[in-house]
Amino acid sequence: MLLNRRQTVLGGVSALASFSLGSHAYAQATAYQEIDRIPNASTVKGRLSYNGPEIEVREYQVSKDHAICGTGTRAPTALRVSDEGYLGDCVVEIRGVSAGKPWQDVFSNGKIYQIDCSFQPYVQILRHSAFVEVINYDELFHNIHAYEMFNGVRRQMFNFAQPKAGDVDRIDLKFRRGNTLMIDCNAHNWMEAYVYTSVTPYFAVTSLDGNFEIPEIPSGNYELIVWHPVLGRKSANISVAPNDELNLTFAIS
Amino acid sequence: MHSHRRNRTRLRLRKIIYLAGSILLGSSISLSAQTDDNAITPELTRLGKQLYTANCAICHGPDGMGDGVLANEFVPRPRNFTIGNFKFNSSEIGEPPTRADLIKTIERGIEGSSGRSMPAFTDFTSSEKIALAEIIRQFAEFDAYGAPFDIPRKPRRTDRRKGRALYTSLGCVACHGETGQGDGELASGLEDENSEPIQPANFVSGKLKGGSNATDIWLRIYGGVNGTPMPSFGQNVSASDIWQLAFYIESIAKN
Repeated sequence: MLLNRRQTVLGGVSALASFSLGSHAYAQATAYQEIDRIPNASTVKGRLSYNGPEIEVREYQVSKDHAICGTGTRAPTALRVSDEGYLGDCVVEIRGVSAGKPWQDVFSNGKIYQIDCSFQPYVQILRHSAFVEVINYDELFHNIHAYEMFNGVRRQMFNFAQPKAGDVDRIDLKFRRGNTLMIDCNAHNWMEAYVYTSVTPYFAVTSLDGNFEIPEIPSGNYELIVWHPVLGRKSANISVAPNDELNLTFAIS
Repeated sequence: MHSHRRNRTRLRLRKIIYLAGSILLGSSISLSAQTDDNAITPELTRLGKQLYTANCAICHGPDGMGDGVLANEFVPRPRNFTIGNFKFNSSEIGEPPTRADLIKTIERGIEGSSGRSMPAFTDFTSSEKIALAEIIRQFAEFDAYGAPFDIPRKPRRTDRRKGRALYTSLGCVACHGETGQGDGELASGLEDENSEPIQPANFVSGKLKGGSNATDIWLRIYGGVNGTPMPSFGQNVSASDIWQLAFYIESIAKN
């Protein structure tokens, strides 16, 4: 992760921890306390860009279901970088807040849509105890094969068939060791989606223009996590002063 | 080319397994405690560890991580128990296996259309099998065994035509092939949870890893096969339709 001078000055980033790719064991934080009013709350926002090499993405031949899946080849979504170099689908999480803003209901109930042989959305964030509804809009067979990712390995959480359009299934996220769900479809190998969960509501996903914003943060020293399905996990220490507005602009590779 | 190499590897592996199995089984008998007490006691756990080390660690590794000295010789690899997933369960979808499920695999081994990977350990006493299951449960870190799923009663009438129609409409053909020989259009690109290549079952061979009778097949369709591309159909297909499909697949396996 590269941090520019402005961000270092404004952001008060105290020190950069060592960065590494791959998932890490998810340390369950002590119980998070929701409070109605956060005195002198601050905001962390910013913009992520990608400055690494071009990443080769495996393409798969569409061998069946052409009417819905199309023809030729298809590939996983992988990296979505704008023409200006900004990076979407990156989770930004501030870890270590013990008491803060209440959860919004939207983070307790995720949805994954299967449309035109793709999962939508590609990356979403949810509460650690959330459930997900999986909905098949395609008039064909899909299977939803989900893995919990931790310590560089993956463990199957569930794998169920949705043979027809209109099938809807609810999945309670019961992680054993990790906090990230990876979903694929064995019938259509290019289909992939990710659900990143947190025990506190201080997280965001970058939009396709690389922007994110995390408001209502109590002052304190925290760990800033940046995670992307392809680029992995990076972290840094961050200091949030009272009534601050940190503007973090950084590039990852 | 690949299939020739794979067949040679399988033959070689079979020899290694039988040799290792026969040596280790012989050594394990002296370790066994002749007791029918099924309670999980420190003694039973100790016995389980001894039996595991003598019989299972060579493939599944000393700590149950699927990394024994012979592990790399197998496709698919020996189960990593610490991941906590088991393929052939008779419990509800998403629940841990029953103790009987683990014991069944120990007793019968696993033999499918691609050959035998897990040998059958037929000489253990009842309490020895319980002791081994307990060690596996501890590796997997699930608090309790799953409860046996109450399988809906078999329908009286077998409707082969309906079974065949379901075989097509539910997408079985894509992996298992038109005639059930495991040669569907997706068959060559499938991977297991370790990203290792895996083949769909060839029903015509008559050898299905999770068992070849209709009840076994019903459970595999209902709950899927964990860690493989075989999904569970139980959420979206009725029990009676699963029975007709199971009867159809059983009929292929029997012929």
